[in-house]
Amino acid sequence: MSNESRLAPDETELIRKAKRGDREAFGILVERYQRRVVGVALAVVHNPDDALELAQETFVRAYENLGSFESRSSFSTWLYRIAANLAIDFRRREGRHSFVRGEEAESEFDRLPSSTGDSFAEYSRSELNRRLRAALDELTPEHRAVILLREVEGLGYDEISDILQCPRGTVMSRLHYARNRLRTILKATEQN
Amino acid sequence: MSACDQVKLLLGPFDDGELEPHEMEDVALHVVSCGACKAALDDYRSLGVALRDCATQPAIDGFTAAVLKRIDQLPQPLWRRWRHYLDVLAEHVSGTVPLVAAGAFAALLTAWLVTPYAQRLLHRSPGLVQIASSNKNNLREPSEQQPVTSQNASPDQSESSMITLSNDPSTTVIWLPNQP
Repeated sequence: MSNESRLAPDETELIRKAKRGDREAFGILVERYQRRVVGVALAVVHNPDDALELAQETFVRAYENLGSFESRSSFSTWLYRIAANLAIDFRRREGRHSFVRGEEAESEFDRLPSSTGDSFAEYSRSELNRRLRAALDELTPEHRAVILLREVEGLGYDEISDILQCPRGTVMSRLHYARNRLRTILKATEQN
Repeated sequence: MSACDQVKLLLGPFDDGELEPHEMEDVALHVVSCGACKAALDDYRSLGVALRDCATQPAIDGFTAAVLKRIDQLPQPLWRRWRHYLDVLAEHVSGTVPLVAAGAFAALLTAWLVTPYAQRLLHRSPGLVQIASSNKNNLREPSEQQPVTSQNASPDQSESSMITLSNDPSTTVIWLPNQP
């Protein structure tokens, strides 16, 4: 498959226009990939506000460096790679956010069962989510990114390997480790 | 390493459909007959469902506008501004260039048609050429040994087809054919 054919029909034209400074063309590209880019950033930083900020930064960086994009990989993979790099750097700079802050604290409070009629099933589900989030926070950014890119974003191993710039074998081993780790943590909390 | 240990490494890729066909077949055959591996595979699947379930996508309303606003605040390199300006110009001009070219061609053609050059070419009479060629036989070239000048020309010579005005080589000599 040629490099050009990897791009959607009008994507090549949009990229060409954006390279020449056409902000409307770039706006269409932003619309097209914003959700996925936010998802990739969220997979690493695990905080919605930070993920949004990083996603914006991703598009700004992409716009600034469009000239260096040569269609060797697909445009989406190139974008996700920028997002992942920014998010991993951010995470390393900031350290782990194990504490609950701001809006997160409010949503944690909302998850508590109210006395006026939350069903037990709903409570169990939100409790599972809470545990899962806590378990994800236990993982390193690299392991969390791999498992969320696979399970939530539905990316293939090769694409994850491209985005995180690591061998496919590393993707497989990180995924195996992350799955087992989450499984162990969840089992332990279930037993407790 | 037991068969279970080997297969457990492949359960995730098996569930993700990322194994080679023969490996997929091997793992599938093992899982059917091994309760522990079947349970591990079910756990992986449940984990995937739970992860997708707990994933929350932040609201992205106004995201594009925010990105474009940040881009507008970037210092634009001069080359990019020029390139954009030229592109816009080219887009506006591209439709008018063929019209202008056609108009210019029509104007040139009209101008050429009304000039004497075109008239001469278009209305050139073949009769004149024939007359000229028939009169050519009547022409006599002056002898170099006996130059004939207008001053010393005899009466019969004055009726000849040629009149030499001067012997001086620097003087222009006009050859006139006999008039009918």
